[in-house]
Amino acid sequence: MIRKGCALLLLTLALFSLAPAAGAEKTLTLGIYQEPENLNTYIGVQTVITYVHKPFAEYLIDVNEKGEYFPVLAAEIPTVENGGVSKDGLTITYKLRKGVKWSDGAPFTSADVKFTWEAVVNPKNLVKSKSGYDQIQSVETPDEYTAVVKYKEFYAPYLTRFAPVLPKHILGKLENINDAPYNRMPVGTGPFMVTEWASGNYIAMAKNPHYRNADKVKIDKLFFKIIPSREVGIAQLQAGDIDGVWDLIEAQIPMMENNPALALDLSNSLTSERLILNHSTPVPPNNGNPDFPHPILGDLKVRQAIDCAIDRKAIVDKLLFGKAKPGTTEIPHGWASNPDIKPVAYDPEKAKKLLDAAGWKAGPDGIRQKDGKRLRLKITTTTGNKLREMVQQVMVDQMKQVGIEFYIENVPSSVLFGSWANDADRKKGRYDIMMYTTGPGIDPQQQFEGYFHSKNIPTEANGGSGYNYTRHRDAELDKWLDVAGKSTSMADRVNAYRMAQKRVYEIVPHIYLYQRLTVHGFRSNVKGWKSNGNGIIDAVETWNIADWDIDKK
Amino acid sequence: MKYTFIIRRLLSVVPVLLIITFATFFLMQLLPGGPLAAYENNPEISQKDIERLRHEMGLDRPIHVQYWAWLKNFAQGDWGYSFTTKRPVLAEIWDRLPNTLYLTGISLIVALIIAIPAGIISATRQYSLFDHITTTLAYIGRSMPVFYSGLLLIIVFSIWLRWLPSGGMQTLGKEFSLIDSVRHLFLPVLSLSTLIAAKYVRFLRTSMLEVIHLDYIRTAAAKGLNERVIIYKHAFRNAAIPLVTVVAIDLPVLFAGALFTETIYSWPGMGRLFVDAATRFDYSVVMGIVPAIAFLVVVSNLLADVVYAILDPRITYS
Repeated sequence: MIRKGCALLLLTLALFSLAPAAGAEKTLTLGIYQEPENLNTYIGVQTVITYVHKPFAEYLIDVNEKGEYFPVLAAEIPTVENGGVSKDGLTITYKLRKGVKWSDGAPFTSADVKFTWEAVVNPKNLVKSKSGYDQIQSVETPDEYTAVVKYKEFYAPYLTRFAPVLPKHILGKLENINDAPYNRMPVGTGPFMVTEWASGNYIAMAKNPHYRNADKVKIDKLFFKIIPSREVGIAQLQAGDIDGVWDLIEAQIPMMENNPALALDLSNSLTSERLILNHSTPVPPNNGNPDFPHPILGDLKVRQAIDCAIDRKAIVDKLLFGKAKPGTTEIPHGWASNPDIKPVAYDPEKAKKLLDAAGWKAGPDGIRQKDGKRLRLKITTTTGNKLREMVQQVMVDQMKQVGIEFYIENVPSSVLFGSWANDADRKKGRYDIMMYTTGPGIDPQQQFEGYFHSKNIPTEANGGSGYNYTRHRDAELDKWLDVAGKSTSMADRVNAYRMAQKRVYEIVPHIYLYQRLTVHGFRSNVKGWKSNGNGIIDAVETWNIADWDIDKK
Repeated sequence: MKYTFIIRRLLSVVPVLLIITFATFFLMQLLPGGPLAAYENNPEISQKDIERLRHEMGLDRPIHVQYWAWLKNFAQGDWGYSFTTKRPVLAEIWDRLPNTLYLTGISLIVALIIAIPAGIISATRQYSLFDHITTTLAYIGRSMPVFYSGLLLIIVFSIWLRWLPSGGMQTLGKEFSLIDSVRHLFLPVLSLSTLIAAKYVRFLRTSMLEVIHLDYIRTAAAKGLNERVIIYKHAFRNAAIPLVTVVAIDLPVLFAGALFTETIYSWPGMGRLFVDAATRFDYSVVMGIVPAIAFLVVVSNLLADVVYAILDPRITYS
């Protein structure tokens, strides 16, 4: 009986394995390990939303793989030269692309641009951020293809607003957009349109027949399959159940690299893994007050010593499989970067000399001391991240060689990134060194100024806003960041960012370890994708999905 | 049996639910983070925006006020809106519940189909080869976690042999077909039903062994009754009582979902909804699922008692 059962089992298995043959339609399935909260980036906060919304949502202006702006729904990029930007930078005139239709066939016009602004500033809408939009005085629409945006005061990242544009004819009638059907079944102008969202299961899209280049789009059906984890995603990719998987981590590269059926999309993102060095005392009651300097890290020489005692090449080669670039400064590439800045060279001898000069002398166990105090620093990162933990251990060893003692005390990310109200150590300045990843958007102003301007030190008075967690105050850095934030000339801004980065390099508030890689996996029959480490909101590989194709298996 | 007993037991649900929801609500608040935690490390979102959202979502009110507001709405049938998706909590649950019932229901039936004959045979032929194999398999089944056995099955059947899909409920982009659906159901049901069956086999074997050594079975055998009749009519009916209790108590799991199985096989069920909600601090979804499951636990325990009384006339409740 058992034998019969086995035979029957095998027979059924064999029967099931006769998968139905693929039709003429081209279907592409991408695995995502997070289910998007919704598909409205003005409300939802996750990166995965950007990844899933790119196929249907379009911006006025987007950014390509070289970090350059290019017009999408705008016909051209407004500049002072072409009259799109007024002399004082307060009036931005967008000429819109003609003949664009929403996926339901309605025409795209300047009224949609105006509505987008109205929706963001509408107090009934639970939008995550009003940055920039709250600086807008009015949006005028002299004709269907012109939108004139008037700012109250100059807003440097103006090119990154209106990403994406919302459809007025769908959302304009609603009292609020918080639980609008649009958030799950959006209407966009992009190459694809959402056709179904099976909760917890998949989001289905089909080619948008009203897309201006619909005949050039090769994929007919697109699925975002919701999977429980990256590991499951890799297993399904290997099994051929999905054609691509979103957002893997560096440690997963080796297990996929040598499989000819798979292709890896690796790109250097604008974010860097870094050490954030507290310049103020971590000890209550004066914790986080820059008037009370950190007993060890308040000294520039010590910060420089740590910087050149780190062997970045060893970390990148051994722990990141040689794929990542060593960290340099805040903006690693793109229009605002400073290519003159090279990674700090590994030089333990120089580190020792700097520490000697700072008065830290070697103690009996090799760890340096000054006035009876040990050169001992706590390094904190998020728990459960194996790569970070390994980098920490390597650094503990590298520091020991120059007489610095690092000790590790990690906390869950929700604790590390907690709020002022939650009394988080980062916001209140109760730490020595933190290690995590952050980085600028394609317009760096918000992040750069937030992390490096002295006015952005979190205090009781400002309700803990701002990200200057190191609590450094540097007049020169402030000056360049102000210039970058106020100048209407792109050339002046570029120069200001370059100078600001040079200053960061000199005063070492952050130590840049390595540029983060974004890792995406594909089956090798998926063609046309192009790595892009830049994005207006987040850098996502689906930015050029209109050009993708899939060969027969 | 008295109906007052059932009514009394149902009324006892009320304090239980109050305690459970109260504890869940406060425990969640003790965790670092909150529904807005994901907004904190985003330079695009200013502190002003976070404060505004905290106020608009009502998260700046004292905890007991938030709990009371939740309780009042819940009592009136308003389960609230998810903090992350902004959809009604009931809609979130209704989206997932059928998928979970489909998987757990079939698994339970398969498990019973395996466990009942296996348990009976291995008890009536104690220490036979069949008994040894069943007992060993049951041990392995009980002690091997799904997140391990499931991955093994995926590696063998999906990656090496390529016979079965590694996850999901259907092949995306294809018309619905029964074969496709069964192919996707096969591995998850295999994983889940072996786990359940292993437990039931152990139960049934033990209780059968107890029963078949009792006097009335020996008497039945002595008067020349057919062995089949003895085993299935006399012995099994009595031996099944503890099993029925166990199955009844397991019923809430049908609704709560099998977290590990759902996770390994990308099954869009309740278990994953719950874990996703908990990790995102989506209080309102967690507060929708917890009382619902707690209610089902109480009800299924009551059901177990009632069925017990029906199966065993000696039991009375008063």
